[in-house]
Amino acid sequence: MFKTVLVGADSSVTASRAVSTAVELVKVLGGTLHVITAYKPPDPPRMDKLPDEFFDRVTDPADLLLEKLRASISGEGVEAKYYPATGDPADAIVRVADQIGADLIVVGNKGMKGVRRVLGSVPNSVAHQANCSVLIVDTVSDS
Amino acid sequence: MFKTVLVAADGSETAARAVSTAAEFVKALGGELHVVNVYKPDPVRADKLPGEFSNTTAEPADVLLSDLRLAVQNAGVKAEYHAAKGDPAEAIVRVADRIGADLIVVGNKGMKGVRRVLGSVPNSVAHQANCSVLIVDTVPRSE
Repeated sequence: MFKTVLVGADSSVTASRAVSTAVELVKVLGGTLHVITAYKPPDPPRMDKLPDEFFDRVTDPADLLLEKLRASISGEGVEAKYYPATGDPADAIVRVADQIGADLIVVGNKGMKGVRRVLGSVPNSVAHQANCSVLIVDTVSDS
Repeated sequence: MFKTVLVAADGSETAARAVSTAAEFVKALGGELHVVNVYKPDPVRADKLPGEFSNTTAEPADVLLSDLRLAVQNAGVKAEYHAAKGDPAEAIVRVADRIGADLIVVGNKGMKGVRRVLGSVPNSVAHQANCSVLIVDTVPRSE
């Protein structure tokens, strides 16, 4: 039914639930999983705000996120392709979806930022711009 | 993952595709399928019905429902059927809440008109739903 599934992820809880839903779907339905880490640097990092353990590291937060996702997804026994993207998350998701010929995009419903009851701006934009099916995972109601 | 799936249907092609996707989904994932037939209580004029209905007293809504039943049966899935009047998006969300749906499936064409953009019904459902929403791409890709 859905052969090429793209899930949008950032470091938020809503995204990680979207990722687990996408992983389960691909497990059951078959097909390939693609993960886009639409990481948007929130603001320039200030050294004095970082916890101590970061002081001797130069790792980019986007790389850390990717590493974490990779570990948890391969732990589920699912192979995935990863795409780091910068810029507007919704645009990036739709662009990569078009590139890989995705037939399903999976996103969390919280807009990947902020705690809002209403549909977030990222899933809203994705739903409007996507050229394929879109699964908006409820990550709010049961939290 | 999704235990109670509600798919919204009217007489449109987009809805028919949403129903078959929902049926496939439930077949693959388990859980129960609910079909809500949303209709506007418009009076029907006999001269607008196709010839084969001229000798029957069937309600168009009933005819639609029996078509859907057949499609769902053919997919090898059992379903419960609900009828709802009024604003489609509100009716869909209301039924979803009542049955405790964890996934609503809708077509992306708004169930009326042929538009490339996201239709108003899926848009409203996505915004109002208290559960996950799968917006099925039902726009034929001829390009």
